[in-house]
Amino acid sequence: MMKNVMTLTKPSLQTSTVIPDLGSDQLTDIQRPWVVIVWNDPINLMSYVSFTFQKLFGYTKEKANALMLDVHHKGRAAVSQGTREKAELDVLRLHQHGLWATLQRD
Amino acid sequence: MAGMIITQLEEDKYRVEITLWQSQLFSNLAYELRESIAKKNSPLVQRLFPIAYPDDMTANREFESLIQKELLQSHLSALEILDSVSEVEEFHEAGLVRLMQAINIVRIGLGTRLDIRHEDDFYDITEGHPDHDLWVIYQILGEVLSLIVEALQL
Repeated sequence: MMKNVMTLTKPSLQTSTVIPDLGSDQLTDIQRPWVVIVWNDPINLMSYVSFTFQKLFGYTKEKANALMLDVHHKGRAAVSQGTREKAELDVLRLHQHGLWATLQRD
Repeated sequence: MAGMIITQLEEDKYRVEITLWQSQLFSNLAYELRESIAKKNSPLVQRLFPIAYPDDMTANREFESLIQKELLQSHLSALEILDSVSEVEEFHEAGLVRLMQAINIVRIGLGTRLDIRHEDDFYDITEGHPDHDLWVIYQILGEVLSLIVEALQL
């Protein structure tokens, strides 16, 4: 899904270029990263979830365990963030490992 | 109860020993899950194909149209490993990770069949319960999964 890729081209001085007036809300919206959320489920083992975070994201065992415990106790944890493309790739990889992951704007 | 032995031979080499009944069990479970996956929209495999955009069905449909094949292929190729565990003399780490993924998705399928929605649901599944055998297999897969994670963490 490549919808939000912005291509910036240098406007020609000889042509009339209309630069849209983006309000501060819109600018903020564009800058807000996408966040990948992993949700608690009663089937996946805690050790498996922690290991998957280490393997997929290169997190230390301590950080992965902390995220896993957030998932377990709080019901969800934000495990990665970035562009929409990166977040979607992360979600796919988590789904491939059987984890329940979603993405949303921060 | 797990009955599986994993020995790390070298940094990236593992030997996985399983019994004949485990080999048959893995193969049967893989077959059953493949059958469920082949039936489109089977509730038994819903957890293997989660919704990525719960608040935006249009975005979700687009996402699914892009990744569904890849996710399906990933699950199916992981399941293939379960048909031949006893024949593989040595696993590289990547192979052991695939085996771990395969065991996990089969376990998710079983957990869905058992309708496990809360972590303490299985306390109701005592001997004599119609799902008891399935629950025992679910427990065995949990132990096997723990063993693999432990071996990979070392």
